[in-house]
Amino acid sequence: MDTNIGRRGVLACMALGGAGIVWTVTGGVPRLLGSAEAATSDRLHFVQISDSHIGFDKDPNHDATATFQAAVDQIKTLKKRPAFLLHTGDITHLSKAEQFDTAVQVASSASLPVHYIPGEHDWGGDDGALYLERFGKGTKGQGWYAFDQEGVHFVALNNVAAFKAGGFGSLGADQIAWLKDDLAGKAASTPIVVMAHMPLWNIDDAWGWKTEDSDRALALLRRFGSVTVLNGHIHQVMQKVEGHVAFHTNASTAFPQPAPGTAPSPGPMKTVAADRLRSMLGITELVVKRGQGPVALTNHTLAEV
Amino acid sequence: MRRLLLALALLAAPPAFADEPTTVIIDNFAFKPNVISVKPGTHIIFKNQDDLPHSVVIPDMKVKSPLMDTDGTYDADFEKPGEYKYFCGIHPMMTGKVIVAE
Repeated sequence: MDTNIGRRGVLACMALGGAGIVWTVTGGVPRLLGSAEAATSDRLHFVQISDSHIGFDKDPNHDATATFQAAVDQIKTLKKRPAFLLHTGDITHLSKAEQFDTAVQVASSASLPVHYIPGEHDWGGDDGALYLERFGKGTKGQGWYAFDQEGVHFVALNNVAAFKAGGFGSLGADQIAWLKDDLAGKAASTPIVVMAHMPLWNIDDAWGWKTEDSDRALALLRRFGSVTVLNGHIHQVMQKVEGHVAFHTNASTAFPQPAPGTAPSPGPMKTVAADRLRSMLGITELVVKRGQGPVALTNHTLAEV
Repeated sequence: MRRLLLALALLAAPPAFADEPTTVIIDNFAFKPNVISVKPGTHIIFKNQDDLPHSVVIPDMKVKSPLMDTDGTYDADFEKPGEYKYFCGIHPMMTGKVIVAE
């Protein structure tokens, strides 16, 4: 198997208090990467942040700006400086101009490039007008785009702009056609990183945690030897490997949501104690190895600072 | 004369069903009541009681509300008979229906 994913669950992360251990799975067998190996073979190092929900001010977090700032401050303390940040959506809580302004101001304090995609909270207030005004430059359609860095191909999708009654996240035919064209000339050995706010794998129907036409996008990605799908939306870390495709959902920097089926609705976990909140919020460090090596993911909670 | 005025006032008053707004509550990611039958001309207030924002999209009336934060409301008038399916614009699995009939 030539695709691997490094991972470490939130619980392990809490227990170990942020020691720099990276697990990878090779041929289904977990192994521990030595730090020397990790240091010598890195091709690209970047960080995923998600669901900052600037403007959220209810239990269990009355200051989502402060926790987003804590996440950015944590990025500044990482041993290795990342090349850039990926924000996988729900930048704001209510699509308001001042919320976008605050988010960009906080994120820019990392002094790193930030690549954004929209979540439904950034889009639903005005059909994406303010989002596109800020982040739409040079993008296609409803804000989708692609870029390359160190031989890794990044695809940024929007699955929150085409909702239908009773439906789920949706990419739409135009975006899938664009994706097909975008991937057409790429060698199968090109590592691919896909960003989309709502999960591109089926997590929970009742809570709408899936994308109805994700299969059509994944069919275009299957020929690649290493595909990493980065999602947000569900405010908790979940991972799954399907063939050569590794799926990862990021924690929020604002508030946790319950595991599917463990609460009457996917609303915020209101009763989380103040001293536990930051252990349920977090960021993800990603390292793409040289050659066909694994994309290693390390989740850090905000309690590690 | 007083009796006549009273009679005129009663005649001029709109029917009782259009006078009183009807409220649909949004709670735990659901519209309650989920299906509601009203007379033409009914004014419906959608009120969000969740801790996250929601909205109301009524495709057949070309209505898209702004995001309603907690305790936020959105008002819509249902004038013409028909069945109006609607959903939350950011949680599309949340759906409801207003049936407008005499």
